[in-house]
Amino acid sequence: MNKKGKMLKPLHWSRHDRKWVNLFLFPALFFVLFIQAGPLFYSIYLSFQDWILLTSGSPQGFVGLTNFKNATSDPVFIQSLKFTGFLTITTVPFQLLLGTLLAFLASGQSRFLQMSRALLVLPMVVAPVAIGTLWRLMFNDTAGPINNHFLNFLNLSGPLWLGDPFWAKIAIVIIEIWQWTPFVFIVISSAITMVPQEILQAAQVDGASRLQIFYKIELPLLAPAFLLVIMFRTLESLLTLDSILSLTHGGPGSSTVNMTYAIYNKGLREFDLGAASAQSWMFMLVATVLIFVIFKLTIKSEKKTL
Amino acid sequence: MSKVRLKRSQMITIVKFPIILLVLFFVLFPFFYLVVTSIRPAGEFLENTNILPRSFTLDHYREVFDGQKGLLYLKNSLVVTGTVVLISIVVGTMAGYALVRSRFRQSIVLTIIFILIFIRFYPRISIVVPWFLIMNRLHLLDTVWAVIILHLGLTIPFVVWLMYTFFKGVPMELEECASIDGAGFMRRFISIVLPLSLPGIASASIFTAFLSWNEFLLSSAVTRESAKTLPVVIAGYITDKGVVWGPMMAMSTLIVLPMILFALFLQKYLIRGMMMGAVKE
Repeated sequence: MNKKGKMLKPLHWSRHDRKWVNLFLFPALFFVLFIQAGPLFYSIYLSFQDWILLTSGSPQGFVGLTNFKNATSDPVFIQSLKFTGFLTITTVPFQLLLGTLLAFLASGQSRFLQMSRALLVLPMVVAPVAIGTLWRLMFNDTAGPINNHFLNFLNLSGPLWLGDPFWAKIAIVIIEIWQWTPFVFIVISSAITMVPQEILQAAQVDGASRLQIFYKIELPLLAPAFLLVIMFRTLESLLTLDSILSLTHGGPGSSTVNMTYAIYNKGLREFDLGAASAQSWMFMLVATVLIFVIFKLTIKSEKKTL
Repeated sequence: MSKVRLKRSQMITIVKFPIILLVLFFVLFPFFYLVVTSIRPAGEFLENTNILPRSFTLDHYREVFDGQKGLLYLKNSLVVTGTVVLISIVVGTMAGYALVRSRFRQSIVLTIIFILIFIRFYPRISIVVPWFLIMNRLHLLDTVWAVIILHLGLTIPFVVWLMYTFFKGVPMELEECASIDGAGFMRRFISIVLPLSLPGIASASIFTAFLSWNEFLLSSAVTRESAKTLPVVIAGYITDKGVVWGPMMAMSTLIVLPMILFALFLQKYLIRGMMMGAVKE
């Protein structure tokens, strides 16, 4: 309905209104620039400086790319890179698969299903720090219910979960899947409800099997939601920190230290500010590529709704 | 519907329910066990491995609040979350509205959207070291103000984005009429736009509270002792020497509870925030 005309001339803006618009934007702009952009530039500066806070109160001078070079030979940083990749590759597919399965299973109007859907969301609203502590208890080898009840019940003897480098990694994979499958579940659930029922019914009338309907109709219609979820989860899993910190403390050794954790330790425990900043910028470059993909996806869905 | 179809759908239901019940068990059991452990007597931790304790006690809660400044930490968390919600809603709602009603060129709007998404996902660890230094220099280290300022940088972009997607769905006709009747910008915003945007504001508030209440990384960077928020306190119970189980579980229960209540009673609003308008209802 004359949408184009409206887009061009939405309101009887006066010059007075324009002033208000700018005034309304200003505080947010100020906060974002002051809190986010400022420190980001500061950390670029720091990444070229030699500065260990424990030994000196001010930067010890420009050192070029030394901090970046050192990072590539820092065993903990390289280890953390590998673990970060491992965590993303192992958790995101499982979250996707389980979340989607659940979304299809729990779709429906009955009271029971509605209640289940509300309860299934709970893990993702809870502070990740608390998730770590509560699973630390679950995994405890002398008192934890996983070894003493669940695995015992299946006649298995559980490993020393948090004391063994391999099993500690698996433990983190498990809690990440536990906490974030609900996210996939909720996005896919609401995407399912948006699939037009008429199309499904028409296909059914035409004699399509349930599997055919799923592959040929539902899956393509859900594709944008899947893409979005994959990007969200991939990026977020790169940034995981709190739950690892409270579940394993990075241990045993540094086997469960991921990139955020490694930089956190470098900057706030060893106070090697130059190295921490350099590493965080190397991390940033990887993340920015992925963020750009999300941006493109968002723009695409924005254009559809305009 | 034919008889065969009906039977099949019944069968699906029969298979479905036990699976959902099993999943629900795995989702809910850890929460249940957390609460149970927080009221389990200290002596029972490693000796009695039954799921249910032999007796109940509130000692851990008492310990947290009497001996360990628990009340101070709880107050810190409440003050931070409350202030952050208030400021980000005011600032973010204004900016979201201005963005929708501004007639910026498309390229500017796209740039702003990119910045908002970037802030949502970039590794926040990068600003932690700089902020630690800045707060140190400003003598704000270990004050709730430091935490509030850092949280605002995180929450305001979220609120702007949420309100932006929300306002886009609000029709402009009403405002146009009011404008013709001579109502100015502020008048239109307060008496027409704000009442219409209450659901959006509710979403944004609850989601902001969720972000700020659970936030760990930034808070831990600028607090040492007296300004610690609950997540920082909980992480502090895990030391190289061992874990302080009882108080840790009591504190964890405290931090988990409000968000569970939000999720159960105001789920629609919370979820809308978490999706960042990515999924429209």
